[in-house]
Amino acid sequence: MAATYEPIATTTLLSTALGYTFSSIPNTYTDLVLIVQGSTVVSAGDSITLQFNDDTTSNYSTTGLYGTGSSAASYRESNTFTQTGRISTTQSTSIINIMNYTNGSTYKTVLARGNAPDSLVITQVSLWRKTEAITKIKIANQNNVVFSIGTTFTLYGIKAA
Amino acid sequence: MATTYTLIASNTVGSGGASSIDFSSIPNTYTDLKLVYSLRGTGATTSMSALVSFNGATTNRTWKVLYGQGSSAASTSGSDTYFSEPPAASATSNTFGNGELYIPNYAGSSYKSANSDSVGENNATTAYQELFAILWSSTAAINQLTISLASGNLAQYSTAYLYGIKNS
Amino acid sequence: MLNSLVSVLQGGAGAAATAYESIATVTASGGETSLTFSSIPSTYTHLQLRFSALEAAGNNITMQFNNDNANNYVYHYLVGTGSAAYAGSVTATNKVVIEGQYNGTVGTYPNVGIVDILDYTNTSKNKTVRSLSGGDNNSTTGEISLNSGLWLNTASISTIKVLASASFDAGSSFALYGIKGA
Repeated sequence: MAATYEPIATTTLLSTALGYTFSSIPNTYTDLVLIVQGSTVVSAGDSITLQFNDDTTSNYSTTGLYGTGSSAASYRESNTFTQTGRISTTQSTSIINIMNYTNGSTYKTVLARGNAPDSLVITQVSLWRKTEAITKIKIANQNNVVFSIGTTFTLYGIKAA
Repeated sequence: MATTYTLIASNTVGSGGASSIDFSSIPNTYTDLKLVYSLRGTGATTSMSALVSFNGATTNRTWKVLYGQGSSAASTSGSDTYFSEPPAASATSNTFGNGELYIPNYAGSSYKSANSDSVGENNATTAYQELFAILWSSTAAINQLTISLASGNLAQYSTAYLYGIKNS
Repeated sequence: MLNSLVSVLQGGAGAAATAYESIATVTASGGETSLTFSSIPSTYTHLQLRFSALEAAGNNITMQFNNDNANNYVYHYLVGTGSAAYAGSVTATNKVVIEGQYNGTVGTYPNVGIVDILDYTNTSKNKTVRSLSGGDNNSTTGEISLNSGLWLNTASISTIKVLASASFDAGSSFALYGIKGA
């Protein structure tokens, strides 16, 4: 029996890098789960951004809910990039669910949890306004600065019956 | 191919309650840990702070939480081992919290960051929904997890399940 | 003296069995006001429901168990709309909310969510639901929320009904997974 929850690919940065790209993502799963753990050089913290299938246009938007440690707030941005998770100079963790990623009839919605302990605790929902199946994910950050050595990017697939 | 999502161990609190739940000798053969928990306290309050220590350490910990408590949203932070706010004896009977704590690269040599997503419930206005950002500033591999409450004991039928997630 | 519990570690040689398995998927053909998972096996410890749903703007998605549609439910929510962060509660109601408000245009803007129900067969515990869900439509509002729900019943869950406050559009998909705890 095929496994329900499987790793697709993983990488650990051996040198600093602006991000990482997963290509040739198989279309045999239902949802994707992306785990990003590591740090960057932006001390105030930064949003992790995703681009799908080399779409560099403004076909993305995000609604977020976050806590700073002293206040709770919500924000949204339209016609921009996705903001999925959070990273900062201390060890940070983001769990990003890309739901129904092969559906050829709907846009793609992403559900994310981000944890940058010296920055924000955050959850976001993001939209990519394309109906094509996702085959490529480019991971970067909003300020386009490097991720630190040791940052890991891991992609899992979840397969529904 | 190795199994990706594996139960490492489980605990159920028996009659009389327990002061803590402990997972010891956690193997270092997985990539991430996922602790799934359903807790209730015995103290005479509506809810109680739950704590989780790594390797018995209670220092070098920081956390931030975004939470709702039934009427407003807020955020706070601290430096103890707080990670959840389950119901306790003054909450609706037979009612337990529901949460998960995800720790990536728990056996690696970097500091350990974790997400805890936790809800309590209660047949009243006040119950907590919480999203935590947790940091343990230690390069040690995690080989022990211990859950306890800030006051009182864990009630009978409280449960915790530790899963290993493997990235290859 | 109350003693701490020490875990019982899984032992044995050989590859461990996966703890996470797919149970069933239900997909709307369009126009349904609810979708149901019946005869849920009792062989797991936890359930996870992952969904991608389409319905008319302003509607929500709720859940009932074992065909109980009486006022035996409570729910709480923590919500961000893009302009406000707030929380609230509803008691003595006939369902729990798992997704607060659909914001998109039917057909293309899915609202998604991940719903966890722990210890669903434990007959000593009321059933507590946790749901992280949301949707965005590239407009002035979106919604992201952490919801909790309580079914005031200790019965083992054998049926889950997911309800649309209006109706589900074709392609709305709900996938149920079982997670083993022993």
